[in-house]
Amino acid sequence: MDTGRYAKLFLSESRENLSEINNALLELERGGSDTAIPRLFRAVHTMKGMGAAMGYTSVGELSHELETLLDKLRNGALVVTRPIIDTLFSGVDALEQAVDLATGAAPQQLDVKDIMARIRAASSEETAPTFTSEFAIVPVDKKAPSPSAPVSQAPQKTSRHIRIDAKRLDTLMNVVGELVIARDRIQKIAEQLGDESLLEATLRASQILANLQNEIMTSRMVPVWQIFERFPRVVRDTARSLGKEVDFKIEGREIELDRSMLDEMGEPVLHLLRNSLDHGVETPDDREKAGKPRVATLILTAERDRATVLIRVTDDGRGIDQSRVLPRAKKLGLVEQGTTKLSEQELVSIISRPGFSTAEKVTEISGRGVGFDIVATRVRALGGSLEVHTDAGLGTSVSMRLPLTLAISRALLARVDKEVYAIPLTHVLETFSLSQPMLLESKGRQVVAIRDDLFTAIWLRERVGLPAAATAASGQVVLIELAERRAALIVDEFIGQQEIVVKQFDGVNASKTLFSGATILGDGSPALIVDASSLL
Amino acid sequence: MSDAVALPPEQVVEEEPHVPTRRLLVFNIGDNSFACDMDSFREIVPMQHITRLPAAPDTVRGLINLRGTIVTVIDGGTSLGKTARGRAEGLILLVDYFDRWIGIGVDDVRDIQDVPIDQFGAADQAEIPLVGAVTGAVEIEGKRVLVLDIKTVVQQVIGQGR
Repeated sequence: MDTGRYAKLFLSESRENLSEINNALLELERGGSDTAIPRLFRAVHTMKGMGAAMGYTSVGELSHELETLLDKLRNGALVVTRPIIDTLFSGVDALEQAVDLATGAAPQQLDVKDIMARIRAASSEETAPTFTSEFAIVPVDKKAPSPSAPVSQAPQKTSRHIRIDAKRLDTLMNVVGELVIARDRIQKIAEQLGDESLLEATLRASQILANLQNEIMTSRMVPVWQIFERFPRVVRDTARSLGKEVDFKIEGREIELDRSMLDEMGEPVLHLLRNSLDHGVETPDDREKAGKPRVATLILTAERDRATVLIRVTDDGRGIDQSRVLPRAKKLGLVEQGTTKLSEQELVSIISRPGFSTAEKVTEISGRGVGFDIVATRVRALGGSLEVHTDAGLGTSVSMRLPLTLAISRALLARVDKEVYAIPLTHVLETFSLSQPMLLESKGRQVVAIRDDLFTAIWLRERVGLPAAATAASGQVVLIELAERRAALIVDEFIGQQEIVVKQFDGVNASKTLFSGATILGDGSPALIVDASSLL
Repeated sequence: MSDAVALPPEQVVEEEPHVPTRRLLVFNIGDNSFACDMDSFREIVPMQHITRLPAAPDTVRGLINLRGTIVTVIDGGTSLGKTARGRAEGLILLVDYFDRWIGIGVDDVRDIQDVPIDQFGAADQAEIPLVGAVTGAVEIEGKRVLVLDIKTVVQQVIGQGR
């Protein structure tokens, strides 16, 4: 059991070290050998010690070999060349694999013989101290040639911080969530009893609970660099494999987001970056022809905007070409035939449809059309929204707007038959009682007339696979809205509003698309949270 | 200075061959008994209110609240192709799956047995409808019991889950 616990600690510390190594390598590649080599040496040395202490021979031995090479670079016995940088990158990739294998479910040691031999060969080469011409070309950003240019600093570790397993914070958050639900019950009882002093005491407890909730949420906030750290390396590798040149910048590294939210964001951000490199950014030659600098700019930004955080990926590539999206959209019947220009909102909803793609060829980098819809689905599941701004020829910017925390939100509880479902209030516009005259038929569809508008009628009963109610025109209506689309959701009865703690659950795909999560009701039973985007 | 003949006698006895055992949890579904490695289980809880999961197949019973965590419960009977006694009673076995828990609804837990590994026999994969879930068979108290890899069972029913 104990080795398991240490293995986890080793893994998380290794991840930090590996990302430090990768970033130092990128700095080295940009020509910053003075600061990069000592950084590399330190981090590799740490890996060696940790690997040896855990008995992970592959990690220990490989780190040792890398350390030998770095030592020669450090003391000037060897000079940084393109082949050496490539060898270092390969070595670090192998080190990453070795760590994963050693700490995996079935621990094993990676065979590191070949890569070690390669590193050893590189160390023993007695190169003359001259720069290869290839290497001299590499520093692409001519704007910042100063040697004192700020480089990404490893976060300062001080003794005032302690390392806590993220699971403990999750547990703490869960417990507070339960407490919030219990408070709601007590409050209800206190109101029923109408006892003045009980109400007062409940109110006081409520305030303290709100403080506690706030404190715990704050303690769960982590800076975005924790996941952004690994992107420079991925961007570099992707750009290289596509034959593109790109200057990648990260802004707002210190912006904080709830841990669980941030964990969910790694994949979508990576997807957007790859998408930009693959479809947005042109080849250096094409860029030159278009009168743009050969080196493209790709910026990943995190920004705090009131109670939300914006994560944005901006490129100065070719933009999304309306003339290519529009015909596809018409063909699929997504817009009226006469449409000549798509609004940005329409563009988002079209390109985020599953399988929508204008890409002519399928590439390994960002697949075919699957991708943007995954990003959109994930962002929506987290209670966020997606914005796309694009200028043909000038570039694209995709923003994901996220709530600071996904743990607690308000929902409308609705009953159908004997089952209770939660509908997130973020998507609820209004509620009504359903009466027979409101229910009409239009273009072969059942619609609900509310004031002067008609809305598609959706029976929750039907969506959750329950038999239709005895009388169709009874119950209550929730007007739901998502990205300018609206519909009338019909339920049997409203139970009330409640703060809910959103929890993930395991299920089969068909169920997971219907629900964005589950929560626990006041009586302790689980209730599913209806995903508005699946209804519309 | 110690000398070699002073070895304690039990270390010499250690040389005798002994067969390692596997600790199995034996559970019942209807008239059938199944067994799984005890290590796979975290807890056993009584059957309780289960929230139905719409659009899920019969093999998935739904969700329970386990001390504030939502746990998906799969139906042991339907998953293993056997008729369970009753859905409303019985037990839920909680299994470690990736880094969370999954419940399996069964009729009853019969026993925990240490079975010597040389008593494990072969079994036909086709005895239950889940591919690759049967790892062998043992005889316990005169009754043949299929030994399952419980992670494979869960994997076959809900896939990767999240």
